[in-house]
Amino acid sequence: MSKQHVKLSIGVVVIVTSVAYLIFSGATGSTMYFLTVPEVQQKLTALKGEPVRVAGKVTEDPIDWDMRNLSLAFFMGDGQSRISVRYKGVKPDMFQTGVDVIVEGRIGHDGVLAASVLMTSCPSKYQEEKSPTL
Amino acid sequence: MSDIGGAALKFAFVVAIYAVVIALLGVRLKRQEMIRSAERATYGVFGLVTIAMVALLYALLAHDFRLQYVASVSSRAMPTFYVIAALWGGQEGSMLLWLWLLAMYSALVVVQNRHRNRELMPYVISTLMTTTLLFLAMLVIVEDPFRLLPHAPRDGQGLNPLLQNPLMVIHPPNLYLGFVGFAVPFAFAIGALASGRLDTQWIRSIRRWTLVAWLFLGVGILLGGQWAYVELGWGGYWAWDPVENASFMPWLTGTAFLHSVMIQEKKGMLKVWNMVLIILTYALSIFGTFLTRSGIIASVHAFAQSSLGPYFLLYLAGILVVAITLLVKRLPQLRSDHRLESVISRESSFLFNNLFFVGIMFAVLWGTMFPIISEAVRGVKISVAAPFFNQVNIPLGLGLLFLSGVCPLIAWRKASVRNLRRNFLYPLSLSFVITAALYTLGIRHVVALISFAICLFVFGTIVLEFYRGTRARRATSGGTIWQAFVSLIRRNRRRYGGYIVHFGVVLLFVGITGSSAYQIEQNVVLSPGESARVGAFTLQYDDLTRMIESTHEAFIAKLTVGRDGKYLTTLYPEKRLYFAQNQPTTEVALRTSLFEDLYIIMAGFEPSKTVTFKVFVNPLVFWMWMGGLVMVMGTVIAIWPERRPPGLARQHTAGQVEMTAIQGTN
Repeated sequence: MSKQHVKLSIGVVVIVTSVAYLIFSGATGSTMYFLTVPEVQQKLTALKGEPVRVAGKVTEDPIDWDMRNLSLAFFMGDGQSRISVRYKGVKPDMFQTGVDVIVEGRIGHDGVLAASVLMTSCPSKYQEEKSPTL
Repeated sequence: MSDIGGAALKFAFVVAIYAVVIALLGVRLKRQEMIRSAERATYGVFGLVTIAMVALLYALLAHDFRLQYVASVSSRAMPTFYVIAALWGGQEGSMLLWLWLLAMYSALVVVQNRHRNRELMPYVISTLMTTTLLFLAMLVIVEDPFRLLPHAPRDGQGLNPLLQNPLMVIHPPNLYLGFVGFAVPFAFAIGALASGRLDTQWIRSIRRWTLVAWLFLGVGILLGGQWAYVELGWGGYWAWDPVENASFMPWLTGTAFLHSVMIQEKKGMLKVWNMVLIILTYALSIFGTFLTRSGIIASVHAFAQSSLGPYFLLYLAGILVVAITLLVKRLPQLRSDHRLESVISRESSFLFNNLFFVGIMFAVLWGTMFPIISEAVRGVKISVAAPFFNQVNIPLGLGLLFLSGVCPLIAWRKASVRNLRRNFLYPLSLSFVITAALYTLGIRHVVALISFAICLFVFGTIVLEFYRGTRARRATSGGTIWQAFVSLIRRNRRRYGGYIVHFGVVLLFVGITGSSAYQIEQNVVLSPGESARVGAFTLQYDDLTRMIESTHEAFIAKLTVGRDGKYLTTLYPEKRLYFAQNQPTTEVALRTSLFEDLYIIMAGFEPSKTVTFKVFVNPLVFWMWMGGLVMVMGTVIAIWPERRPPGLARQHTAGQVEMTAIQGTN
């Protein structure tokens, strides 16, 4: 292999390893389990403090929307099981009882999911809304 | 009318099968009439699909609610403009649009190549018609746009109000023109592989097609970002949502392809790599369409869960098998004409540029597909959040930006120290000086400083290129500076159009850097009469009024905005409730300037008229959209046909100009 080919291979290897490193370090920082509510209930103690992403429906329990502090408290569930969620941010326009939601956050020691991301989806239409904040 | 539409699609299905078979038979049996028949069949498919499109459009405009599709995406109260746009507002209709664009492109390709590329055309036609068959199959079997309801409702549900926005109207057609557009270069690549005609002819033939597809895809992506910014109300324009990523990935490999084909054209290198890139780009386009429509990944764009997945996957697997088999078969004939001589050269900087693009694509693919892969491998779904994408792609993106400054100026084959100094001293100095100035002015954010430094460097290299070129033009042909400048661009559209596109990219980066690094976000609770301070702005909340329109009820807040003690503007953020869909929406109040955007939404209000406002100050966003516009302009210049000097072959003219340019940079 000529000298230039060696240099080129080194350059290529450097770039490829850098990309791989970036992907690896980025991934370990930002990954989280994507679970349903029953799965969360099952693994509740193990999940405390871990970042999670949960999908479910907004239950018929009372929804508390504090407009002045932008704090939304509700329950999400999947029929039998349900978890309590507290979201700090703007209440999505489509948010109401019965709507499918996906939340991202951490479960505290009190078993409440402190959510930093809340996404709603309209059950009958194909449009979904997003409000990632704070 | 609906019967005609449905019948047209079924008929088209048959004709498309015929086209594929007769084209392949014709090339196998070496019968020209068969290939001509396949060409006519392509026109026929286009005609039939057009009939179906017109039928659906007619049904929409006539408010024919017997059709399930019409009832689901339109209503009597909708303005005509949006009734037409509803044609692609839902799953079935948008697939029909995809199909129609593909059929149109196929017909266009056939017309363009009536007397050219004769060995390639049978394979090109059969590849394009096979893709057409995929969509026809899905439309006829699974998602029939002409499906009838048992009885017609009195009125339709109407289009989701979030989609009733001019940006949203043109976003899908642009994207499809991009996705579908890449089918043409892919078909030609297959044609070249299958026929064994592997010289640069196929690359030259698809150059404009690739640029056009790339342009539309890029514009579609930017429009989507702009719509998200203006309509969705979360203050941003890009969320690394799976569907956003799905459109971005083919754009990345498409850009890499656009660049590396230049190397193949000039130096006969990277032949195998280019084949891989175009196959990858097209596969990602199909994959992106699949991701958006199958519902396997939760996203902002989640279409209803559909059974289209298997169709896409089967087709994808099929074309990959065919393409890779052909590629492996022709590997011996795809040897490079030249070898790489130095790591510090234009060839190698192109190669590195490609690696960066593919690296970013791979990172995005990984992050997007991770939930599915982890579920398949470990049985548990693991999600990847936005920070991952930013962490990986920012360094890579900045590296790429830097390369775009280096690459056009660095010499072919091997750059000498003298060449490096001559070309990069001024741009580097400019960058250093102005970045230092920015630092002293208070810009301390590290990544932002690096980004601005690189932007300035690239800007410097582009200015240098235009300056040298204009000076050389003036030296040979005289005239004013302006005349020389225009004539320079005119005579070398590809090169200088490309530089203009790079300039647009610089502006884009400036906009992204400003709005990402220095965004201000603040929640403000106000009663009527109260005011608050956000950034340099004073916001005074005057009143909340309620209005009833034909389609919705609106609550409109009036905010008087001041800056430095003086009145600036009045903004009206709204909350609306649309009657037909019983759905509330938030209307963003936006004030744009060259320096920053003031972005306000009503997060909520009480009967007492106390309102919580969410206020964003987003610096430099204007330059993002301006950058996009400049990129479009540059691409149009690069695509624009050049007047061929009589008697001279095109290659020679390009070669002459390139020789002068090379001498200029040494």
